[in-house]
Amino acid sequence: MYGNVGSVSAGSGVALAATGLHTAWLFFAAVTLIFMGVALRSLARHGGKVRP
Amino acid sequence: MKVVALVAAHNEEASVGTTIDALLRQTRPIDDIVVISDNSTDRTFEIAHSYPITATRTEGNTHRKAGALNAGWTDFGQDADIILCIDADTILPPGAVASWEQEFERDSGLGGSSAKLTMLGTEFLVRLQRAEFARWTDTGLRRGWTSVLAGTACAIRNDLLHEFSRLAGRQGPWTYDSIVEDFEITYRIRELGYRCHVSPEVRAYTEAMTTRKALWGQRMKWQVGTVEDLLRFGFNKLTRVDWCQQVVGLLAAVVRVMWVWTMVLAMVLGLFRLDPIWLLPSLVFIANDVKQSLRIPHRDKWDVVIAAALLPQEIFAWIRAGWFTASWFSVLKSKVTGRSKDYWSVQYELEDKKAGRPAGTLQENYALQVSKIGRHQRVMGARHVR
Repeated sequence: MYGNVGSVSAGSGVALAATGLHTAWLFFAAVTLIFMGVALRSLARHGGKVRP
Repeated sequence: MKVVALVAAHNEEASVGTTIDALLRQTRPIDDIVVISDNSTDRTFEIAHSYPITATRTEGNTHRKAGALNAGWTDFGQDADIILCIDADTILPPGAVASWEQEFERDSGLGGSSAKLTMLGTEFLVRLQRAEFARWTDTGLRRGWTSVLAGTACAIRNDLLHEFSRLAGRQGPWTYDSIVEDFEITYRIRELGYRCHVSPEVRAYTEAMTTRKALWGQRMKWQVGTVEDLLRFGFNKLTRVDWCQQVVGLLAAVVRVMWVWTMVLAMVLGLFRLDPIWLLPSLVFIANDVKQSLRIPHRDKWDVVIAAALLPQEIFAWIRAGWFTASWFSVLKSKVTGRSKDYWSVQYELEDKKAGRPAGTLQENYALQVSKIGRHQRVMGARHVR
């Protein structure tokens, strides 16, 4: 019986971690998209004649 | 216009001669070159004294560079129109002062002009700093303004310095309340409604930090000083961009740490799989880094290789995230305990280690670096990129 309780608890923990991971991936995807946008804008920008 | 150059020097015997040589070779002669040897224990003063310039020593100065600059300005700089602040490990190409003078003549609203800084050396860490400064300069040039007139090499309208010297609690234009006196004075200039910019014309060549420890020490001083000053100035239209940079810098640190935790957790749970779609952002970042590396002055193939490899830039970004976080902790800790670390002494300790360097390294690096790639005008026996 105690073994079953342990299994259920561990299973919930994994499910919770998986949900957390999913949320984290979404967050990183959003952050990556923002930085990709910044990089693409920089790529598209003309550098200018004056060397930095 | 009367132009006076102030060179604050602490134990710079290895490079001060090269800096003075470059100042003496200006196509537009500088009216007075003032080297202020500040608490030097080496031959900095003797070397400066051997040149046809004004060499002086501070007496009992405990306010480091700001104290040295105030002493030099009070004794020799008050009747100038333009004050140049040049570090004693920095080289100004011959046309620099002429360009600066023209900038101030053309634009009466210009309060200060920072040189474009280029680090000398071919070491890996130096290349990363050169790339970083090229990006900083590019941003400054694009915006048309800057919140920091680099204390390494800049020109300031002197009537503004007179205004600051009259502010309460000051013994000259430069404050003793800030460890980043260049950031503070730039803020004061902008507060008076004057513009500060990165000069499109003037480049200065300077030494970079060559060890991780030295780089960390230098950046902690800059970052802690900037945070302390920002807390003092508050959030306003002049500090808005700097505050945003702080927020982005701290977020970058948090996101990086979270990313590692997420990866570890995914692997532990067996949920990790690499989707090829994630390679796309990396390719975009590499393309952007390579594009920017092509704009680095005096670049060679290794600058481009480092940019294309992505990993070195990423490691540098981790280190940057580290000093951003550490500096905020340091400032908050000092607010709680009332005790703050003396970052100037850390900097001096690191700089004192340079004292054993053979004289002429700066000049050799300049000749080596600048002659290697430059395709424009030939100066000082080497080529110079504008």
